Amino acid sequence: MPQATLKQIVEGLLFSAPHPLSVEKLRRLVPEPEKEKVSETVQALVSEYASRDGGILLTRVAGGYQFRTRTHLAPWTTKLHQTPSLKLSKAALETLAVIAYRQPVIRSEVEYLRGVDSGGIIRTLLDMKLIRVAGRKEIPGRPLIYATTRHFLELFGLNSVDDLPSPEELGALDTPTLSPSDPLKVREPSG
Amino acid sequence: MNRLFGTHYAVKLDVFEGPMDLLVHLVIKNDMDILDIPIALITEQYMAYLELLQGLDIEFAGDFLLMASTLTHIKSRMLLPPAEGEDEEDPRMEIARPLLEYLRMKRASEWLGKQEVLGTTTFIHQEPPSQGGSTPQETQPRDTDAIEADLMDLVNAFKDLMASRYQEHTVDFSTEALSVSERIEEIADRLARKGSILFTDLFHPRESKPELVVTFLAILEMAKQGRLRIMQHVQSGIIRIFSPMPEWPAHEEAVSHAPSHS
Repeated sequence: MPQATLKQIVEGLLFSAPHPLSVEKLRRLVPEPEKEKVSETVQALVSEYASRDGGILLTRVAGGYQFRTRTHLAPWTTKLHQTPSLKLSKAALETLAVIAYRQPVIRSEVEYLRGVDSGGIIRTLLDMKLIRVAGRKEIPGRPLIYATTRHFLELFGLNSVDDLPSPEELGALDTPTLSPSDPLKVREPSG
Repeated sequence: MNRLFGTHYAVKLDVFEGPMDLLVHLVIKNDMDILDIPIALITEQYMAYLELLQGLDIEFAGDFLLMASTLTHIKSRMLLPPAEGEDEEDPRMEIARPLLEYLRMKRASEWLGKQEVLGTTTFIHQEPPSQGGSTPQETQPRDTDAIEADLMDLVNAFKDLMASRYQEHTVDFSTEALSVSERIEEIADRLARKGSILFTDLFHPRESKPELVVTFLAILEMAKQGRLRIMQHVQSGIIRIFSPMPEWPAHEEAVSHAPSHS
């Protein structure tokens, strides 16, 4: 049997894992004397796949690394994977954003920010495993506390919630984009 | 007036998720500065929108009314001269602050909506369906799905149980020796054998009402003594009783690859 190199081991582990593998996780799986070289080996693989310019990349996500197909291949890859894609309504995305940015957060805080009842949407997000119950807040009523899941990070290709761009970076205070249609056309103040 | 707003209009109404969404729209449409909102104008337009909804017989949530009252309140406070000596804050900040915060979240949600979501534009190497069923499928460790049930959850579950089994009210005068402590030992026995039991399975279908109550009291007593743990599944609300030492199956990663970690 040929001698396995660290690079082979790491690549094989990453390829066969169902979820992103962290460097710490990889360290526990590789031969003891090579532990310290895991991080640089992963980095080497990341740049190798990037420079190879192939169909897959080694991506940093949810605190680990995972092989993913490149997004510009979507026209072909989607043909193979005809799973219903994650389709979130505007309201669901908004609720998810509030929870992602404000976590750990309770329902009334979400509703205060959105100005609208959000119980049903929170339940949907729970069912989709995008958010989870992170405990109860020790205030009267002991409301549930919500936070995002690792599944959320994996789906959105984020390494951690700290990776979420700040709303200022996104231009929160610039002129917001107008809704595609203008539903309020009817009632000008002059009318 | 209603004639003006044809059916095509009604379809578009759901564009607004809530009062904040509507306000943001009005601010943008009028090219207003959020920190200097002409409160009379925005209140007028906001009210016009509510009127419109009413005219169309569309029910709108109380949230819209609450916002209407907030706006009107701010408007009235603007008419009052500022209290002497005190450096009073602009009343409009009451609406400007949440609006700014809402805009931030709106930006964030737009950004999320534009992300390359796994399973839509990018894909991962898929495992073949597991044959032995030994590969854990859960994305989350198990214990995130269950939370400690509190007393109210338990009482509600018991209430439902009683309601489903005893519709008619009969009084039974026969005396029975029912002991909570005996019941505790029974439950402890079953828990020791099985590790966990569904809350509803602890109540035998043919048991009398007093017996059910004794069982319930036994559970409460055991919880107090720390002889069991009561967990509730977050999504289904199903309550399960566990023996005090948790015996969670190791986490998904730990099962397949390595010793568990902290």
